[in-house]
Amino acid sequence: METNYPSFGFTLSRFVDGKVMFLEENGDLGVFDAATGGRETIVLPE
Amino acid sequence: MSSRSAQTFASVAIAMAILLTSGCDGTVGQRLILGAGEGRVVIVEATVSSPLDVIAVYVQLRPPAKRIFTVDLTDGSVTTIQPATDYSSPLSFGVSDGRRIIGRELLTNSIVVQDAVAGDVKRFMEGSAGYHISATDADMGLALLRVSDSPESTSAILLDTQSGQQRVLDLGLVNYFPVLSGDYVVTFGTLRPATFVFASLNWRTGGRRILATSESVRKSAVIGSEVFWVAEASAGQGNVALIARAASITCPQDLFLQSPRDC
Repeated sequence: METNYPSFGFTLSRFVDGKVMFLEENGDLGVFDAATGGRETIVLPE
Repeated sequence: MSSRSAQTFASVAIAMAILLTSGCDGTVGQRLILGAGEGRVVIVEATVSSPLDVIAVYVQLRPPAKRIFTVDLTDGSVTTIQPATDYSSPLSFGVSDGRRIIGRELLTNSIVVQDAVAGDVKRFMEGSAGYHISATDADMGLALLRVSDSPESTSAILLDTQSGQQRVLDLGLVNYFPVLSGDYVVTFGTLRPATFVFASLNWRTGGRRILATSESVRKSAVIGSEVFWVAEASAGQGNVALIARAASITCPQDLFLQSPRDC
């Protein structure tokens, strides 16, 4: 599979269910869909 | 000096070194993804705010990691538990398959397995999981433990996190951060003479395969148990990732050197 892959930093990212998980700068969880290029944020507790 | 005292002394020395190299700004790490799987992502939050905290962390007066967040990707819900030990320290680093967290406990030299939602704890290999043992990945109830008792070590241990049953694996190369994906252990490491490769081992059958051998492999990294390798290369304005899954293991070994394509 070929995809444009943002530079999240490999060591801080994980891949599950076709999506790349990474931590946003504010500590929330970012989710990047490798297939669609879509991106969303899941808010974590303060 | 007893072995325990020597370990404690070394731990405090390392802790102070980390504090000093962190710039003494009061913060050593914030949040770290320990792992993902089964539709969940597990994140540890670790905040150390003073030199005394750092020392306390490494002599195990209390766990330094403040909270564990387990995110259910199906609905975005977040569960928070208290960590059983320090999963953010390089000396006791934690990994997760989404359901459990596996790390090493310094005080007992054991492998801690904690339920990522309920928080329940089991301990295995008590007294024998020293500094040479480190958890590197977990998948479907199995934990992969790297063994680094010598610079030439090519060993790893597969630990059943429910029964405690262990299987010693010879990965066949000096390995850095092996990952586990179903029946396969995939390793980035070096062969003799020093050649960087990605290689796989089917731990059920013992079958081995070199997936890629190239200078460009140096720019690659394994980022999760569902991904064997990600090759980052310059491609116009963005980065190109070649994402190979378990099914791709049947592809020709020179796939990596060709244009990225689905296999």
